[in-house]
Amino acid sequence: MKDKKNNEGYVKFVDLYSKYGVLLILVIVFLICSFSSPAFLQWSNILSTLNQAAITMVLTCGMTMLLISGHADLSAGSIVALTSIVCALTMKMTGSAVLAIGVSILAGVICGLLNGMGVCVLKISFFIITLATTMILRGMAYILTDGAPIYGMGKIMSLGQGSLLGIPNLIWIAAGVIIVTFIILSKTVYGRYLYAIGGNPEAAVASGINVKKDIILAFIIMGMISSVSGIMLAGRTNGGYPSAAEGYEFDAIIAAVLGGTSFNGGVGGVIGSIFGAIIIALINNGMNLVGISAYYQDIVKGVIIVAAVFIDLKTRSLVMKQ
Amino acid sequence: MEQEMLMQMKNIVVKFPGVIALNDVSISINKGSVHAIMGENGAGKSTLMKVLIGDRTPDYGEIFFEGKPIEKIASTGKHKDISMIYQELNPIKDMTIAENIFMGRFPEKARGIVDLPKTNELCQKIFDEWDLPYDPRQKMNTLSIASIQMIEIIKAISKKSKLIIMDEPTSAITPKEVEKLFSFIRELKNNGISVIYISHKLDEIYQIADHVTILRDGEKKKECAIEDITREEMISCMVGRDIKNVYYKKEVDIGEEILEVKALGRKNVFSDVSFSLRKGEVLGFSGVMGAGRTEIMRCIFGLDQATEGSIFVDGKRLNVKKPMDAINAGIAMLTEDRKGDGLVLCRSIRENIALASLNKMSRYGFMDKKTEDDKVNKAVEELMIKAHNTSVAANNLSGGNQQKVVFAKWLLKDPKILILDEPTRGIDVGAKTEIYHIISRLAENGVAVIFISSELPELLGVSDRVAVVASGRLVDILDRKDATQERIMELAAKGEK
Repeated sequence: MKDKKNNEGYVKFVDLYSKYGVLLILVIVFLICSFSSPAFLQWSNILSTLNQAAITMVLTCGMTMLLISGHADLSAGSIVALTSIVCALTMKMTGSAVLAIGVSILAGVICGLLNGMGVCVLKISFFIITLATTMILRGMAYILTDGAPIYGMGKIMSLGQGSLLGIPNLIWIAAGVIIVTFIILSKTVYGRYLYAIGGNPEAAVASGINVKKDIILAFIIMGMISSVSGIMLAGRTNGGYPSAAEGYEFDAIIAAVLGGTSFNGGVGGVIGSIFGAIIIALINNGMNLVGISAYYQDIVKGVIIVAAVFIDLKTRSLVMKQ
Repeated sequence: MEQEMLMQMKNIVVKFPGVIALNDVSISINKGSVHAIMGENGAGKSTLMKVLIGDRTPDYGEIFFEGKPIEKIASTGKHKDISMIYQELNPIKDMTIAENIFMGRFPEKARGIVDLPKTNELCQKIFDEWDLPYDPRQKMNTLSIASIQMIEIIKAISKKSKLIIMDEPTSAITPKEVEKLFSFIRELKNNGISVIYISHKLDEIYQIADHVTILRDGEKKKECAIEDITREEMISCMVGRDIKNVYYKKEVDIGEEILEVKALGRKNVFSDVSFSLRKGEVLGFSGVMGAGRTEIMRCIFGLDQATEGSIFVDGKRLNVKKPMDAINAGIAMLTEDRKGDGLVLCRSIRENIALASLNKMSRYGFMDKKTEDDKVNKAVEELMIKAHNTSVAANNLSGGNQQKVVFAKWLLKDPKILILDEPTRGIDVGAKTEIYHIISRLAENGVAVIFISSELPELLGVSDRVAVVASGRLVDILDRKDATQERIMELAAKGEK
């Protein structure tokens, strides 16, 4: 009898964990951070942590959509760098913030379109295509700037560094992107199609879904979101740097996977991914406050990610067995 | 008993959270006998087999093999006395037959170095011994499903397995191949190897089995020699109720012509296929797997491209390039492989059912959750899909319920023409009967149905006309009154040449 009871308790835990696991980890990380450093719990510290994570969060939104559709964009970091430079150059040439933002978003859309066409028209694996565009776009970023940073963003700098109602603008922008992504994924027909395509592309085709169009659109959205990140980055750093945003795509993928989005497609959601992004940001911040060196930080992060995803896998397979 | 006992499972109990999957089940298998295990989906057959091969530890119970208790059977690879041939075979297609058979236990020249000539030699020896016409050096991907299955069985024999479990081995092979398989099973018997045979097909059970055990809801309902049980007893024992009319068909007024296929063909697959279909009619398609039935339908539905001929719906020529074109013309198709291109397994029942008709449940691209729930719930009720609620992932349903979910998806679409490719394969008798009822009800509402099946009795039971396909050609179309099993087989055999 005792054994059975234990078993039931365990099953309940598994069930809860599969639903609220990320939240649980978030709370634990938050508690550990608050106990280890008094500076952590200060409002200003939390705001600045979120502010630093805002760009990753935005990127995570697009990456989550792509992962759900069974794809990923490894060129996201390069698109961020390229669009931040396009933004800086346009600003420098025209002085118009609106034009700079518009041209950057257009550049992002084109990058996304190219990735999407590569996957759907050339029928090359997303992994290869986006790996190739990573290099191509990064190269373009260096060519456009001649390898040197461009400074001076004017109004866009105030956008990136200012705040509204006491909360930094970047957090507002991230919140906006998160809400839009949430609505797309959970309330629209397109969102449903993305889940179906990621879950079983053959079944999606046989159900009359225009799979190619929807995947290209997902890459375009990713490009657009990357350009928003690029503009945010240009604003925050008051300039365009060709070497910027390296590895951002991995941060986004890791946040999404930590948050329960499957790398195999068909499963996940943007809320979990954002929790994942916040967890990573808190861990970074906590370690900074305690004074752990940056080299050790990477190791700690890597270990935590493996542990979290491993537990997630285990619980998920148990839930499946039921 | 005069025969020697090989394996015995005693009082096996397996509990899942909330459900007892197996309750006090005992079976014993004699040496050199074929023991059939029957039951509806979810009756506990696969759990029992998992316990036997060591995939799952029972909560209670013992297993004896050749009189010795087995503490805990490790996974199949390590336990060579028992092998299982799964329904879905997973050979390593780019390797040769010999490599597949000796995978994981290659003869070695030195430690870690595979002795390939020796492997081939050993393999050839087994083939000679059993008088089999295969070449050890042949690649697996050149073999038919039936041959791959045979290789799996050989692999089990080469491990000196004494008990081979076969899970629905005939679900994907032709009648001729079934005969071959059966004569091979008989040979196994003569050599003292026992077989546990799992199947839904009663005819086969009578042909091949010596004993039968029937499970229902995790309990053993009957164990007896095959001579001591009639078909009717077997069915009612499995289902728990009497099913009088397994095949159900209501007479319906057949309406005007809705689909006409003229000289349709696809290069090297099938050619010159012409037929027409009328409202309320059920047109059966018979023929062995690979004869071209499925391939014809895939072209009509746009999953493949026809290279010649034309398709007319309601008198208008239809140019199908992709499924969407066919769907827009009112054609729906329940594909043969429900896991492959029917369901999105990781998503909920609701999302699966709604998937093809989202434009009817949305405004400006935004989901209208209420309309969706209403429509989905109605379909779930109508088709009696058994699940806690519609948020359950399709993965967690039994085969029959999964098939009903795919049905529901297409019913929501209100198709004019519904193509059903082996809709009853691998599902239990109860669910089959329900599907016949659904087909009949659809026909009554004027839907034109194309029904593909390898099982002649059900084909004859539900169709108004039966088309016979063989070797990529439509041999003939028989009226219900002229169609008999013999006539169809005769036509199919004629078409083979």
